[in-house]
Amino acid sequence: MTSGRNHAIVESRADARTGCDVPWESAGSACPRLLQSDSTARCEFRGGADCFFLLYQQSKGEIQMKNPLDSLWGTIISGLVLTVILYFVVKSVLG
Amino acid sequence: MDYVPALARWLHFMAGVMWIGLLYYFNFVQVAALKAATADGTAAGITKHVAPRALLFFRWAAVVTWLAGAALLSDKFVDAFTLRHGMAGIGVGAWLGTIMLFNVWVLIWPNQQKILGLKPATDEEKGAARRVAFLASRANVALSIPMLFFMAGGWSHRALFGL
Repeated sequence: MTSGRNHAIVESRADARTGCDVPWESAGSACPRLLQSDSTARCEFRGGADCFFLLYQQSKGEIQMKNPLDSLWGTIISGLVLTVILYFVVKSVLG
Repeated sequence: MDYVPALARWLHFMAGVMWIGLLYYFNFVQVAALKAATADGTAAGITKHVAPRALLFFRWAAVVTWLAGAALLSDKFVDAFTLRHGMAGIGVGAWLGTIMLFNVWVLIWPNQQKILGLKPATDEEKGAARRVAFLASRANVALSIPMLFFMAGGWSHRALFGL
C-alpha cells in the first residue's frame, strides 16, 4: 500500500473482488476506482471526491469500521482526543 | 460551616479513587484475566467471588463521589453545570462525571446483574448484556481521561487556559 497527501493506492494479489488489502466483506463496494490486470487488482483513491465517496459508503453501513473502545489503546486515544477537543471548548468559553 | 467543603473534598477524593480505581481494575485487569481464566476453567473464581464485591464498591463509590462533588460545589453547582462565571472547567468535569454515573447505574450494573446470574436472563440476553456493559465500561474509561483533566484543573491549569 502506498499513500500520498491526496492520493492512495491499495494493492493486493489476494482478492480480485476488492483489489484492496482489506477483505471484501469489510470493503463492500467502497472501492472508487478498481484497476485490474491478470495478476493484480488495485483500488485507487484520488483526493477529496474519493474521500467523500468513502464517507458516503460508511454512512450507508457498507464499510464495517472497528470500534475504538474494543481495544485499550483505542479507548485511551479516544479519551485523549476528547480531552483536546474539550480543552478548546472550555478555553473558548473562559476566553 | 467552613468544615463542609473540606470534608466534602476529602470524601470526593477518597470515593473517586475507589470508583475510578475499580473502573481501571475492571478494564485493565479483569477483562484480560477473565479471558485467560475462561480458557483454563477458573473463571468462576472471578465471576462468583471477585466481580460482585468489586461491583458493589464500584457503584456505591460512584454515588458517594457524585454527592460529595455536589456538596463541594455547593452554591456554585448551577454555575458549574451551566458553564458560567468561570466554572466551565470544573463544569465540564462535573458533566463527564455525571454521564459516567449514569453509565454505571443505567448501563453497567443492570447488565452485569444478568451476566453474573443475579437476574434471570437467556443466553442471548446475556450476550447482548455483555456487549452493552463492556462498551459502557470502556466509554467510562475514555471519559475518565478528560474528566480527571478538568476535575484536577485548579490553579495548576490556569496557564493552560491563558488565565
